[in-house]
Amino acid sequence: MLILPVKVRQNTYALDTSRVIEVIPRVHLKEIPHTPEYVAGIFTYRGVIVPVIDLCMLLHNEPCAPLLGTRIVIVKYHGPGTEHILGLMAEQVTSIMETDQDSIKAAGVTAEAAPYLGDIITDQQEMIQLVMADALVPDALKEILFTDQKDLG
Amino acid sequence: MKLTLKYKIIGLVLIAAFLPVLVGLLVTGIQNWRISKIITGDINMLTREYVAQIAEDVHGLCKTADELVQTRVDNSLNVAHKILKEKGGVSVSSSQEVTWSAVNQYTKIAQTITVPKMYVGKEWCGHNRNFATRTPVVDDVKDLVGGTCTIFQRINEQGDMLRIATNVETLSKERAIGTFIPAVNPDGEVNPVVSSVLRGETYRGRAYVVNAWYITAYEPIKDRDGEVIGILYVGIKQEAVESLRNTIYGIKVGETGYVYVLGGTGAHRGHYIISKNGERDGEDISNIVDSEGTPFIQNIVNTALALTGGDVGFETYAWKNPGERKPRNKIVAIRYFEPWDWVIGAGIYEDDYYEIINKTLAELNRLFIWAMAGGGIILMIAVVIAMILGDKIVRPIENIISVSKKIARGDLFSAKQAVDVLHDSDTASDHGGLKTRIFSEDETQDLLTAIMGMTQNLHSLVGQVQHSGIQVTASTTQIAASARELETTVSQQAASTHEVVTTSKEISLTSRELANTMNEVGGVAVDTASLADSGRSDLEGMEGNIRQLMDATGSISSKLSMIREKANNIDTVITTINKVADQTNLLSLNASVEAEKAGEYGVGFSVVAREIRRLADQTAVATLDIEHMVKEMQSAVSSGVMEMDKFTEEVRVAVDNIGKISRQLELIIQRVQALPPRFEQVSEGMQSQSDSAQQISETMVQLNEAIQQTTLSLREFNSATEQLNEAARGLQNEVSRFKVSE
Repeated sequence: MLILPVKVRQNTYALDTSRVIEVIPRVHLKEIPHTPEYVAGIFTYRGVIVPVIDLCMLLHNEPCAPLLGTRIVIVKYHGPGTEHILGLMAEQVTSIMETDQDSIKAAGVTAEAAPYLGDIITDQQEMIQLVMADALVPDALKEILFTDQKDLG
Repeated sequence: MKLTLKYKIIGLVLIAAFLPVLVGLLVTGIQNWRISKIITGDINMLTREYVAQIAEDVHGLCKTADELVQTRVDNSLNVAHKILKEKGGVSVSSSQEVTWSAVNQYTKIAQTITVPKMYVGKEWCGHNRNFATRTPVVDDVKDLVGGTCTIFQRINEQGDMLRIATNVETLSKERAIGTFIPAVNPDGEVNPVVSSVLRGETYRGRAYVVNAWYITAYEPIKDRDGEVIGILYVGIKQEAVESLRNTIYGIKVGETGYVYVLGGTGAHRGHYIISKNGERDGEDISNIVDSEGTPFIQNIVNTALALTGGDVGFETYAWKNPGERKPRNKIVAIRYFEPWDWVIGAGIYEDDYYEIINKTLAELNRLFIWAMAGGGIILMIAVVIAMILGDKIVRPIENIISVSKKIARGDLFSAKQAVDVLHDSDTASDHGGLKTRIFSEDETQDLLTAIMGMTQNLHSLVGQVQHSGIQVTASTTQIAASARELETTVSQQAASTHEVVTTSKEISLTSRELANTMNEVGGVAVDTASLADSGRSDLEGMEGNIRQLMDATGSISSKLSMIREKANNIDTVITTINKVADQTNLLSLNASVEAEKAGEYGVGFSVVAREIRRLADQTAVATLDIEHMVKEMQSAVSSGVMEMDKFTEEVRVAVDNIGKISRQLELIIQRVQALPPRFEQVSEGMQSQSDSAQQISETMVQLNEAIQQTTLSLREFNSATEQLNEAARGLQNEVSRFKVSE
């Protein structure tokens, strides 16, 4: 399985490349008022308004550093019965990793407030926790974020 | 005491009267004295001759008596000799001895001796001390001729002669036997009696036996062999003729004088042998002195012993008999009768013969007193006459004297009045009255007129002199005061001048020192200028160096700026590279993702993508390193630029400072170089000041001398003024005694 590791602070998380549409450089985002802070803003991706969630803010309540390595990963979001495009902003999105199925372990610990954190891949140097893109957006937010998005299906 | 004219006149008369009286008295007195002296001398002479004659007479009596006694001694010896012969001569027993306690007649030492008995004929002379018992021969001699007789026995070889039989009576009424005449006297001399007898000669002489003087003869008694075995002695009392003594007692010398006899030599020297009326016979008067302390008895004896032949000696002494009030002078004629050792004195009191002199003198004195009385009466008459005359002469002169005394006292006023009164009274009463008579004589009239004129002239003269004297005194006092002020001023001036001299001397000295100091300072200034000059040239070199340094710094700074620019360019390049690397990375990521999506077909592509991504990663890393290095370089350059800027600034400031210092130094050098000429000027000024001060000092000294001379002159002037003043004051004093008004 091919994963895209990202860094949130010192910890390394990873996204399944199968759900990655494209990795783009950090672009100017329009901020949306009255949204949670982890919602960095919106931008237009190939004609579609895509909301971007700041993983650093979400996971560690701190915005991502404005560096070249900080990039927006465009992923497919599968809601219940719907499919949307979502941008995830993280730091040091600069490499691709190949993992085999054996090294994927269940996390064992799940936090109620963070249902999007999944299995853990043990690499030679570090532990990489998978981030489930589908669980990233709470239901209350879905309506706000994807109002104008149609099923891309 | 002041002798007035009156008393002088009286005195003159008195002297005129007194002198003849005095001369008369003097002549009388001298004549008196001469007559009394002649009378006294003559009477003394007569007295001496008189007493000398008496002494000579007594001497003649004694001589006669002595010759009589000598005849008697010869007769007695002959009788004794005959008696001895008739009795059968003297013999010494050869068997019978007798023991005597023999006493040395000089030493009185007794010794017991045993001698053979001595016989006269067949009769032992015995040992008889008793007068009741007869002793042969000696008693016979006494019966026949009445003298003393003794038989001596020779008791030893030396010739000591022991009295064994005698008719001489001791004081205890015994026969004087048992004593012996030693052959040698205690004084070591040969006894004259014994030695004569032992030679077979008869010894004649005086001897003091028991208590009286005897005229004696000692005849040797010889045995049949002609050996002297004893002595036959006979002696007649010296004054055998009793009438001699009585005759001497009876001799009267003058009124109260008498004759006396003294012992001349030996133990009896100075003893009375015959005294007045025999009252003091035997008394020792050798040491008595007269009322003046003279040992006159010794003198008398000495005089007597010194007489030779028939000379008569004289002694005078003051003697006071018991019961008399005053000692009286006594004159003694002295004669020495040697055979008896008699000093015969015939003494007479001088005043026994003074009666005649006194009577004569009394007559002369009476004459003298009469002369004195007559003189006194003449004198009294002269005094009375002198007093009357003197009064007459003196009265007018006394009046004039009183006027003169007033003038002398200075009371000219009353003197004038008195003269006026006298004059008026003289002219007013022409006839009679004492005053007229007083000034009737020419001399006194002239005197009065002269006195009057003199008084009036004096009156006016003294008045003027008093006035002038006061003026002169006032003027001299003023002059003296002025002169004294002047003197004070001159003294002050002298003191000031002295101070100026001292000060100018000090100034001169100080100026000279200062000039020397200025010369030294000038030398120092020249040194300083040269030092500053070299300092300035050093500074200029340093400024050049610093300017070069500044230029170097500027070039370094521009080089650094260039480096910064280049570094910035590098940064841009790196950014570009970085962006490229980033794009490449992104591209590779997306390529990988697409390759994954492509599945099996995308495997190779995936590898390429991975390689690309690795390249991009390496590029990124390299650019990161470069960027890092460039960043460091940039910061280093920046700080270098900053440091260079700071340095440049400091150097610039230093250059400025050096420029300033250099300029200041130049100024200093200029000023210092300008100094020495000024110093020289100052020094010259000081020198001239010193010289000037010296000149001032000398001038001042001269001035001071002048002032001192002035002071001296002033002082002399002052003293002259003082003298003048004194004189004026004296004059005034003198004149002020004259009283010209009431």
